[in-house]
Amino acid sequence: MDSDVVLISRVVLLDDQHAFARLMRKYQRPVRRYFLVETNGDEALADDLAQETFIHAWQNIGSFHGLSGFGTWIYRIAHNIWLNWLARHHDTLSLDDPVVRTEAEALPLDDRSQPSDIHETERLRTAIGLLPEGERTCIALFYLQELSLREIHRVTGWPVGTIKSHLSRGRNHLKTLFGYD
Amino acid sequence: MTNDDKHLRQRLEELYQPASDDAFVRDTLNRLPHGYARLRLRLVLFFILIWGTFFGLVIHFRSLLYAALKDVLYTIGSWTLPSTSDLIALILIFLLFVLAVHESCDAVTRYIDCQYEHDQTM
Repeated sequence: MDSDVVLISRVVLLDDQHAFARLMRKYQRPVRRYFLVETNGDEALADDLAQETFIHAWQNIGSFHGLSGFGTWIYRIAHNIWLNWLARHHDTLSLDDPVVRTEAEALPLDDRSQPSDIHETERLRTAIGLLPEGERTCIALFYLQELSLREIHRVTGWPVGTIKSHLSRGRNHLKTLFGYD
Repeated sequence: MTNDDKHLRQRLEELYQPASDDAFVRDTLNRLPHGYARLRLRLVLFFILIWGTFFGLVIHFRSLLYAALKDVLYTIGSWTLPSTSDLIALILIFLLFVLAVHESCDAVTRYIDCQYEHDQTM
C-alpha cells in the first residue's frame, strides 16, 4: 500500500490518474460527508462540490508542500469551495432569523422525551440545518472528520479560541434544538 | 469525548451517508482536465531543452556552418564535403531542427486543445 506522499509524487511528476484515483478513494467519503453536513443532506450539491474540490486538488497538487497532511489540505480546499459557493448564493440562515426561530419553536417538544429513531434523525437534520455557518462547519469537522482543534484551525484559518466557542455554542444550540442530552 | 458527543457523532454518521463511492470516483475522473497546468510547464521545459540544444550546436559549429554556407553560396563548384565527424554533426543539427519544428508545432497544438478543454470544464 503506497503512502500518500508516494501517490502525490506520482501525480505531480507523471500526471498519474490511477494514483490520484487511489487518493480520491481514500478521501472522497470524508469530503462528501463534510459537504453533506454543510448542505444539510443535499446529495447532488454535495457531490458536485466534492467533485469541484478534487478537480481543484488535481490542478493544484503541485502546490502541496507536505507541511500538513493531505487530508487537512483537501479539507481546506473543500472549505474554501464551500465559502465561495456561499458567497455566490447568499442563502445562509441564522438562529436569529425569524423564520428559523419559528421552525425551531415548531420542533415537537413532546418527541424529545420519547424519541423514535426516525423522528430523532429528522430533528437532528433540521437542527443541523438551523445552525449558523461557523458552528455547523466546526461540528462537521470535529465530530465527523474527527479533526483536532489545531487541524480545524489549519483548515478554516480561524483562531483556536473561535473554534472552541463555535463548538461550544453549536453543542448548546443542538441541545436546545434537538435536545440530545 | 463525552457520551453525548459520541451519541451525536454516531447520529451524524448515520444521517450523512454518501451514496456509491465507485460512481463518484468514476465521474470525477472523467471530469479531470488532462494536466493542463503541468502541460504548460512541460511545454516551457520542452522549448528550452530542444531549442537550447539546437542553438547550442549551431553556436558550437558556427565556423563550420559558416564555411559550408559560404561555399554553397559563393563557390558552389568548388564546394567539398566536410570531414565525416563534421558531416555527422551537420546532419544531426539538421535532423534536430526538423524534430524541434515538428515537436514544437505538436506541443503548441496539444496545449491549445488542452487550454480549450480546461476552459470548458471551469
